[in-house]
Amino acid sequence: MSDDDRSLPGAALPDDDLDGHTMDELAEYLDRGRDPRDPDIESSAACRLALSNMQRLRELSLDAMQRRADTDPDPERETAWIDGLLDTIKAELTSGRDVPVSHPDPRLRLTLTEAAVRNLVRRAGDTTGGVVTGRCTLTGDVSTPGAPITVDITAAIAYGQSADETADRLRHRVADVLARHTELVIEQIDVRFDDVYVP
Amino acid sequence: MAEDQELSRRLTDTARTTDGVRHVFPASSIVQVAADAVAVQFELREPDTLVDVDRDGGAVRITAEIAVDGARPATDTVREVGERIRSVVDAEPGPRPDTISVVVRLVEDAARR
Repeated sequence: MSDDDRSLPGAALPDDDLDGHTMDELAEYLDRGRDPRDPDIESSAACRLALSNMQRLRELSLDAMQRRADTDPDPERETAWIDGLLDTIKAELTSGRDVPVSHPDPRLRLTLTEAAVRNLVRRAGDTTGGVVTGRCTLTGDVSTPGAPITVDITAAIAYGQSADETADRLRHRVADVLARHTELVIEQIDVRFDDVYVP
Repeated sequence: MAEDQELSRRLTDTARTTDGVRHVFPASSIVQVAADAVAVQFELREPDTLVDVDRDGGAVRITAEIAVDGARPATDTVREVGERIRSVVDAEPGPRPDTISVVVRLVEDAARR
């Protein structure tokens, strides 16, 4: 596969705005190695979130996509899978609720956006090994300090991996990352594998 | 107000130079952001008034929105940004801000920009 072929199939996505940009534009920008630097894109949190996720998705799935496209009697399934992941990523870019960070001075209101937290979960999943993260949902009152929440994750699992062991590794990794970067009280992390890919 | 623009410039620099901060996003009004974007385009410089200083009805609110580096806990970085901004604004003459909001919009991979 040539470098030119390593584009994400962003053309299949609707042209919704991301601070005035589209997923297609961002895919092209990523193709160019984010060079020359576009200050408008780089100054948008939503665009940077999308770029970060698209880059990881690209690294995780392109080789597998190409292998399956070469051998699969239905290669369009692969494109549909990637398109579905991109749609999920786009849907999770909205800032969402505020996730507070405590400080003894009540004048200081420190928060992470829900989108930033979801991105942490996605990154943790995608770097677990043998997993491509799908949807991530935070269930519960994330805006109230100390309130227990549940993290729901859907993911594709690499063919041949043990589902139980992979889910345990994913849970531990997500719990570690959230403990490092947030003050969320995680009551439960639910993992559902809804697809299998050939690594 | 020129004084507030100067304060915003100093606060933006304060946020930018805090350990673990990768980027400061515009938290200002749309009009201000658009004006700054035009200035940036013509002068080929980084926008430098990204922290919002809002005075309304006697209340003063400061808002900063940032991307942070995943190599450092986001909680540590956001606290330090808030405290550094507080030390700058509390040293200013006039009323102290009622709220200083710092929002982490993105935790970036340690190995990426």
